[in-house]
Amino acid sequence: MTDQEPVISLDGLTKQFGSRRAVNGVTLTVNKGEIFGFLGPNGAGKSTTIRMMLDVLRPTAGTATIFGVSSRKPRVAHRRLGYLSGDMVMDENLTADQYLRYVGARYGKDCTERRQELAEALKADLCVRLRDYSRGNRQKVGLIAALQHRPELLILDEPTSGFDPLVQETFAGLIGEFRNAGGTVFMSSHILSEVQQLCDRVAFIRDGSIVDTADISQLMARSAKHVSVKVDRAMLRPLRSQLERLKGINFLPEREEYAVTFSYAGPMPPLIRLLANFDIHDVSIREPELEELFVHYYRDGEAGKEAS
Amino acid sequence: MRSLFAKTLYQKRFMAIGWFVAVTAIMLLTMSVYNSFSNGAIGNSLDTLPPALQKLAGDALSFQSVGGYISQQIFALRAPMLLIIVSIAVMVGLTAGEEERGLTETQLALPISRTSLLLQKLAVALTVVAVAGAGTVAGVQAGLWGIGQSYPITDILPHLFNCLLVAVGYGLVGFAVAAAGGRRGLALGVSGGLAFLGFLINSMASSVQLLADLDRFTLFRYYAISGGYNWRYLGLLSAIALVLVVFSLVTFGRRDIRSR
Repeated sequence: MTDQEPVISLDGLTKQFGSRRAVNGVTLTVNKGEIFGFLGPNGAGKSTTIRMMLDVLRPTAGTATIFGVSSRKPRVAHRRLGYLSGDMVMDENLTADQYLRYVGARYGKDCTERRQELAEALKADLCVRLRDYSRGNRQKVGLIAALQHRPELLILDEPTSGFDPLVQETFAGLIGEFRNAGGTVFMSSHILSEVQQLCDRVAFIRDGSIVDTADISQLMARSAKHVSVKVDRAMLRPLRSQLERLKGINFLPEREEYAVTFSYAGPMPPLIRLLANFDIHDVSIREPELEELFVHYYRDGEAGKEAS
Repeated sequence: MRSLFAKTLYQKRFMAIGWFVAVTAIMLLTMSVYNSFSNGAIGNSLDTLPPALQKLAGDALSFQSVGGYISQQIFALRAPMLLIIVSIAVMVGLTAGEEERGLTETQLALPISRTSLLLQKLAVALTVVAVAGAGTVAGVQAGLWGIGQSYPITDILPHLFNCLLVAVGYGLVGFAVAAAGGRRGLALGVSGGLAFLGFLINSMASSVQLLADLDRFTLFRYYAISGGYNWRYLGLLSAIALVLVVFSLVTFGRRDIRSR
């Protein structure tokens, strides 16, 4: 899917505000064609990292390069990217059309056709002054501004926070279309279903440091699955005692009568062989949600990486 | 609106026009009462004031001629005060004001350097101040026409240029503080405070020796409201402005941009 051409390279990126270290030695690479999720709770350092990538904040240490160009040269580095943040401020006394024409002109391109396409896809009326828009509609204009010049890289900071579910779906479609055209996306979010749906790879950031970086598919594969097995009442105890012998098992509170519920992070064949010895009424095996991984990384202030 | 300059000037068009109309109206009103001053009645009452207050009110003897009246009533107080207010307001508003609202962050995400961003905003601010300054000439000329007097515009322009440079100088103090820290309140306070103090010191410097020593540090010291072009003053004020612009570019280029 990706051809390993680095688009974003962060090397030891660090930001200190007084005595507080907001970002601590963040090192990561995002390759061409990837949709990269940057996950973390509020205050973890996601937006600070993005602001350093955009040269809005100056790193205390480390470097950020975009398309091989230092982030300190925004005139060059920003020419090939589009940016959208959830709390983006735009020129409120301009109409959306005036604002978008100005933004398009900054890239030296005629964006008229693409602007119209995006406005139609998002059902955005561009004749209204930005101050008269709702937050969600302003976000739509921000998304059009980020995409209209056909950038090669999108940097999105909590991009869908103002969107309703229908627009979120359109957004997902546009991002898919962007990726299919060879675009690269760096997206911070805490809407985990969205990250799970869109991203190829994610990094978890906590207290300014990267806790883990992994492919979404690998992350899901190595994470515990939820299993629920229904048996006769008499078989509950023997089943449970057999299951206890498996590695990577963690019993969960019973949700149904005559059922054993557990999370299982081990290989599947031993579990299947074991279950075959019992008269099973029903069994369900569910993939873990990203929310569960997220909580796993941040619960009780523990990284908990070793448990995965 | 292909450039930041064009877009920002478009956004500030009502501010520029509003200040032009306001300055024109104030100067027109000031000129319309010239005849009351020129007959000497008000001048006689001003003679009873202490010297320091006479400086604040203007030289009564100068009111006898239209040129002296324009110098004292237009350029000694009204024009510099109005243009300083415009200058500080627009320069701080476009820099720290927009930064505090979070707009600068959005602007810098586009392919534009910080130097270019700041210089284009400065160009807009200077244009707005110049338009407001043109209101001085428009108001005086309209007033002269109204009272049936005439005075060569070429004799007004040296005062206007000098006045504009003083106003831009104090505006640039705000611009520099805003560029260095991004704090609107601080920039307005420092530049407005220095302008107010400078005016007080300059007004009372003739009466108090200590203030006379301090006067050299005020921009009003280099503001001539009589005679033609004072190239020494104009050169000095231009040099101060240049230093403040360079300081602004250097500090703005090195620091973090504030987020909303």
